[in-house]
Amino acid sequence: MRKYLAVARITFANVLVYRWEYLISQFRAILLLITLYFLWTQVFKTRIILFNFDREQIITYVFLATILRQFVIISATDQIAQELQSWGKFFSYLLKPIGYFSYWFTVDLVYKLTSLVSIILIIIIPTIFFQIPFVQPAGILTFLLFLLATFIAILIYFYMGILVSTTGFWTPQVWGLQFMMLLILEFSAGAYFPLDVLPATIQSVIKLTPFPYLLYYPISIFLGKLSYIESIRVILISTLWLFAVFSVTKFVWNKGLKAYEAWGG
Amino acid sequence: MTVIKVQNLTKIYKVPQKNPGIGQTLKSFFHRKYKETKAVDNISFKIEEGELVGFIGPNGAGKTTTLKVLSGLLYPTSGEISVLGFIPWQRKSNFQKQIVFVAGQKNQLWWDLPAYETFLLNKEIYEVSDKDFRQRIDYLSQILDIGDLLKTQVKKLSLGQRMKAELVAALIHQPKVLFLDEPTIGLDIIAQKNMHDFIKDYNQKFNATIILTSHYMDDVEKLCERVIIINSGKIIYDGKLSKIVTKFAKNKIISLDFTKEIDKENLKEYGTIINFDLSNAKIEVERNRVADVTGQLLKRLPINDLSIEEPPIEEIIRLIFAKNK
Repeated sequence: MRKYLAVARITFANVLVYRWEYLISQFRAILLLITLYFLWTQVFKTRIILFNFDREQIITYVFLATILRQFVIISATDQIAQELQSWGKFFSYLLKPIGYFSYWFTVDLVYKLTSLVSIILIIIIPTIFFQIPFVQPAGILTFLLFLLATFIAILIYFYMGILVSTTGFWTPQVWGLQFMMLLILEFSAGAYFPLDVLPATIQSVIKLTPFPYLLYYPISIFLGKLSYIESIRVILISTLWLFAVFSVTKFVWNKGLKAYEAWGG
Repeated sequence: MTVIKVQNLTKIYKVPQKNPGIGQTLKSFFHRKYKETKAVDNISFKIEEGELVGFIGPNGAGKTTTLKVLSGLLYPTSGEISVLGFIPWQRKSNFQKQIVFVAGQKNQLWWDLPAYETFLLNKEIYEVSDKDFRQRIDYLSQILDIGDLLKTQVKKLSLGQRMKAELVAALIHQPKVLFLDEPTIGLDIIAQKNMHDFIKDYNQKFNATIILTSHYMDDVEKLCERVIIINSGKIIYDGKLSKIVTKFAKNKIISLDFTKEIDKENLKEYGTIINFDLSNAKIEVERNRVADVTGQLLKRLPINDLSIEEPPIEEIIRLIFAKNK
């Protein structure tokens, strides 16, 4: 345990070195949030219900998506690709008595936590200033289900990130894949709008993938869009996705490691 | 106690072959061709506790590959390896706590932070107690003379300073077996000498077993009693450094200083002339003829001073590699 605390400590120190770059990247999220806020406020000036959402619900969705995005989809795992290519550190961690995935999960958590804290600090001021109305979760059980779904989402994305980075074993051009994944993700996870906005056929296709389980479903649980039974069903399916993504990642990772050993790095 | 045992180690790399161009890339994605390279070819050796062994050979000889197999980074294609009683590539944590691999060209320090942060991290990873940690940092920073470098961002250190910090980071768990892959690469003469002193001290103080690879004969001559010479994956010599000379060098060199200028022609009958400038000369003479030739030289030529030297080791090794090509 102390090992991982030490990893967390040094990661945090490293994040602080780049605090300005970091704040600027948070600023992007805020601009997006403000745009979406005014867009939906305009849309709801002429009607009360749209796509089964009322004004408060859609605004809560957008805010929550912005916050969760900084927590679920912010990840340090993209750095693994660079580490695989430059060998230096990866090489030394392979020889140390510490689990590589656990090591990265710790790094990941620190990124997520600092990101979460800063985004909340930034959001608080405009929220109070504009007196933005929010939907509260229906009860403590709803909230707990939401937390559970979010936790599984974090793990799913963690392994997805490693999976993409693992291609670094074979090719130095990982960034293309990382960028593509981000594009697909932002669209199909519901980062900018609830998936209900999309045509039914597209929705049903997207819902066959693991992406909506990252943001869309956890937020839907929070907003009370799903009954308890439906929420639990969603959580079970996302657990299956987690298991699937984990297995594929582990498999591909071991293949990569074998390849590395066979080529000699 | 035998610390490292290597028996019939062979390592074959399978390197994917690809021609340039997008079409070829796609083709190789579906149907990949491999070229097999034998990096290490059936080598065996044993190393006892506390030995400091030099691994020498030209680029691509298989030195680094052997170290990688011994440290557990790579699994062997065939052969049996035991280090401290462990099978390295199983990467057991009790094994990892007792070894280290330091490569001059790789770094583990966190680039944007002071080196001390990495030391603290390694302390926890290797589960080193506070007391041991303090003692070791004191010892290492004193002998390597780093002092306040520990508080400077790693990226602002010079190469020599960084290498020292890398060493401290690598030795916080006080490993019993050290694999040093070109530890002096890119260092200036002073830093190189510091590194020599340090490696020697560490070896003696902790009775640590050390294998060191280097391109610089100087490293090996200063540090290692025993050397293993490897070329094209095969061991061509394993033994005392001092014996290399008698084994491989058939000739000795006689340096001559004359009281007056002599004719070059007069020297030819004694041996091969290496250099000649009227009153000075160096000639190469077969080992078993040296006594005889010296006697004749003293008798026949106006000699002021005469000395007999072994050819430099660097030269001998260059010849060995040239011959084995």
